[in-house]
Amino acid sequence: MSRDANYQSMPPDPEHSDAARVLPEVEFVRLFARHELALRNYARLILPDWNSVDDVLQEASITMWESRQQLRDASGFVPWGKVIVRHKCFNAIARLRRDRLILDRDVLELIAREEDESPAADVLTDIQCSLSDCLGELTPQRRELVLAPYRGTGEVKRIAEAGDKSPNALYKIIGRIRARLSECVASKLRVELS
Amino acid sequence: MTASDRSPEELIDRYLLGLASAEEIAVLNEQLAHDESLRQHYRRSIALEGGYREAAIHFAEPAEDADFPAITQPAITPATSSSRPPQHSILWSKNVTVVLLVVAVAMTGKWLLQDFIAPLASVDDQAVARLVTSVDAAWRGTAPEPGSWITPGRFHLESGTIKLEFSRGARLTVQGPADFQVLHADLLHVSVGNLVARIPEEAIGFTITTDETEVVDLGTEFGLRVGQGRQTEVHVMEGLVEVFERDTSDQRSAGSVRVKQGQAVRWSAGEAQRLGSESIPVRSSEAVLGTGAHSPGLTILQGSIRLKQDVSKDALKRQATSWIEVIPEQSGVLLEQALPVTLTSPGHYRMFPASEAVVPVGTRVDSYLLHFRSTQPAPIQGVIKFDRQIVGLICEADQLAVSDPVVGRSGVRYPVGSRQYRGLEPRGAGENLNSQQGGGWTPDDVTISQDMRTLGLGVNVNPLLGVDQLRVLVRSEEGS
Repeated sequence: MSRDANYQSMPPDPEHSDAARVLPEVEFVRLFARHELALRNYARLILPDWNSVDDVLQEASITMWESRQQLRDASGFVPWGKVIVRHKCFNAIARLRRDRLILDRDVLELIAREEDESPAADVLTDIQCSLSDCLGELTPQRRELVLAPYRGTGEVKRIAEAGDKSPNALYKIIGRIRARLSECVASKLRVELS
Repeated sequence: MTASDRSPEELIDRYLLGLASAEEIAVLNEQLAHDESLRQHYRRSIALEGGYREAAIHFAEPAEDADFPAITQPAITPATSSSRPPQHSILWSKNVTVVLLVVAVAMTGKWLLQDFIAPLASVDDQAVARLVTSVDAAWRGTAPEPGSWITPGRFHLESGTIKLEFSRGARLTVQGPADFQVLHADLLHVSVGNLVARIPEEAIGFTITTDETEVVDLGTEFGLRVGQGRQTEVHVMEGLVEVFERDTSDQRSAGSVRVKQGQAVRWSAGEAQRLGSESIPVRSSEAVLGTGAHSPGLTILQGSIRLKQDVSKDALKRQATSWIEVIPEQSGVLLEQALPVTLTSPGHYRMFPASEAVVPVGTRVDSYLLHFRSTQPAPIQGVIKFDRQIVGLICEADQLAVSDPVVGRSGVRYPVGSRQYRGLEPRGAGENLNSQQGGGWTPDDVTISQDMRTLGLGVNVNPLLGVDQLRVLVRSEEGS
């Protein structure tokens, strides 16, 4: 694994260079597990699909592990991790653009920057928990349909063929279910806040 | 439809699903660049994307330790309407003298998303259930594939275990041999077989008939054992069950027997005999289903180890829960060249260097990949017994890579990129387990029994880097 220029540009803070203050490895692992969801979400903001996110997270986690001595306290973990993830993402984007349609880099950087400024970690968990609830309330067929795009390429097509429908028709249905699920999530979040 | 005809939110949705055209992305770029609220919507949509993705993984494997947990999560949304469906009449009549009617209670006031989502076209109007999991299922006649939707019809499961999820939410685990008839989304008839039913609230009205008795389940989980001799047992693990006899005119009798949680009832033709839990302890779900629920070749799975039959292309790249997963690979492979392996003899091992050992050319083997990719650093133990002799264990990453194309599953991406972390560790006495060269915080260990049939494992990984895999080659019975 080659060293990553980005994290090397983050030298240890001289004030915290005492080896005794380096974050223990176990603590590092705990932090990663705790914040992986946020980092994964951050990567998905930039990358066009989940397979790319998996690859980048794997790569970024190794880089983070190798450079963990730079981290001095838990509070800096997420911003530090995001810097590494963002760097890996844009490296990956450069390769992916050869055969993928992807939003402009300027737009993605703007979205990533706004995400950096957002204290959204808890909100993210709330949204996904609410979505899980809403999905659980769907009939199994509808749930299968709306999750089909995440079960691998060709799954929607397979369902379409089985039901003698066109993939486009199914995607329209999926879009409507997703819109309703989005409303359902918003509704649940409002209930929790009230 | 052109890009400008679509709403910005729709364009985002299409982009996230990989459907957007170049024109649509150009429009979306422009809109996102100038609209902060739309960028907020994009970020929120990404948060939902993560939820969909997780759910796709979660709902895809409902047969594991948590029994379809997400489906049974209660709704938070305030009650707006009653979704209680109509009770079904007893539809099964011909030669039927007994009916099991399963009714969940405490259902009033529950809200279902389907109540406010406009009816949408179903995948298949005839489909009433889905075969969620199939472990070693051998069918006579119609043989549904795992993941497929099932339309009404009769099924003969000769052996193996399947899990069915009905469209209304009822979830059944059926152990072969079983003879059953899917009649409707709310109705199943069982002539022979063992099953465990879990009936969530939304499946209220789901009915099971047998040839002997009529039972109204007032709880959520029970086991059913229907024998060849017109004998039926119901074991109530959770909730309350009410049992009715059926008279000769196929009508439910007025009298009934109530069976509480922790009790069991047996029917034989013409009589209902209560068997208190003291005389015959209620069976657990596993005991109702009986033994032999695992793959041929796997007779014991103990500890944190489970069989995983359905493996998606990228499943091995993702972190899983803290289980050692046993993934059957190719079987009956005749080795055309000697295959390097790490261990070939009984013993307790705590180091896994590449060795000179091989499984000789001409050996016919079945392969199982034992995969562990935890999110937690704690060690996990498990025991697995094969009913055939283990001829070799491959614990070293390079040897795993060599054997992937020989005995591995086609279409599955093996984590060859994680090569240095893939096998068991340590590979030598001097290996530093706490460095990034290692895969865990303590040594992995493997025990092979003297008869070369039982394997004990203790593995742990660094959750960031780690994946522990070993491949078990057993002597194949195919072609012998």
